[in-house]
Amino acid sequence: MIKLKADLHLHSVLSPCGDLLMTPAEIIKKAKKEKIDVLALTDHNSAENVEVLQYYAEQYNLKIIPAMEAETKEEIHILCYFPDMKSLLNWQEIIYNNLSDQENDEDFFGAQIKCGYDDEYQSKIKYLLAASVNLSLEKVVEKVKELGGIAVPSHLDRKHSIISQLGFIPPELSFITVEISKNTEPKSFLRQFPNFNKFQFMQNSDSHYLKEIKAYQNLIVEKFSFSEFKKAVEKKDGRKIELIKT
Amino acid sequence: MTVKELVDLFNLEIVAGPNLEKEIDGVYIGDLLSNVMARAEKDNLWLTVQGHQNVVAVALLVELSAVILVEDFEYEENSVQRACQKGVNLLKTKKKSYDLACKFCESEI
Repeated sequence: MIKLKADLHLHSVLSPCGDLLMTPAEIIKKAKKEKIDVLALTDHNSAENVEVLQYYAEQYNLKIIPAMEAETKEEIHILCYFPDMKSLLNWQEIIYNNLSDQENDEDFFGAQIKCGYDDEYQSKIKYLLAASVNLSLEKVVEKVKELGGIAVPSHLDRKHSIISQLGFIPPELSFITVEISKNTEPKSFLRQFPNFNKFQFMQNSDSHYLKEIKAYQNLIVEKFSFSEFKKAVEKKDGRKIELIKT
Repeated sequence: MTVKELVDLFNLEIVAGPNLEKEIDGVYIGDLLSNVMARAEKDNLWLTVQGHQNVVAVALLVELSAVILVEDFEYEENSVQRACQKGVNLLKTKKKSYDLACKFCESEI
């Protein structure tokens, strides 16, 4: 088995809350500096910058997992990871079809920028991405699975999490891995929610600024591939996620 | 007042009504289930926009008299099934929480 340093939750300029310097090339450069091996860009309800990120990742010899952070009808944030760009783009279409037609108020929420292969701002997304889509939590998990992907509920210790919105995790959803934010650690989280000890934790930077990008975990896998990553998330065959003590 | 009397008085729609003779004591309004679990009290009516199946579990846990989904929001299908099985009353209305609460207030609920 090998250890891969992974940051699997961060936002680019595409997310209205993402800093204007969070362009694909700059994200990759900072990740390289932090010795990160695997990165997943998880913008809110959109994946418009993932292809360009992939392009720069290849140049810097960094691995990418195609991803998005979706917001369900119940206003729960869910990290959605996919085996390839094609399935991510299929997912993006499902999300776009269920997005409300409220336009983004740039002054209030921030800009939503798609970047080109030159890492320059290319265009803006008209509709507000940082809002709930008309799909229930169960539907989101089901559809991500159908596309061969895997869903991990975001930052359980914060707002817009399953816990804050729904009080507890519906047992039918059989998650094995859940994310806790970088602001907590498993011990204090479990003190507050003792019955979460059956879960494996993922911990990410959830960066909105370049300086925040950092790995909080290692993927313990045979080699890098989506199926190996999926096994780690499902804690199968000796693959797992190991948090780095900070 | 029982849930049945409330339904008649305020013209509410019954989506699941397995336990309509239940007595009502007070009202709680909120959409964050974590907060409802902590704050709502036994026999309260609960006004919310959340139709997720966890609503039924929370209503059961806190022993609420009924859930009222406001603003014409819809319950998830499995919420309704579960409510019937577990004896939780699910009601709905087109009204907003505030307007309904004002009406409740006038009737001293």
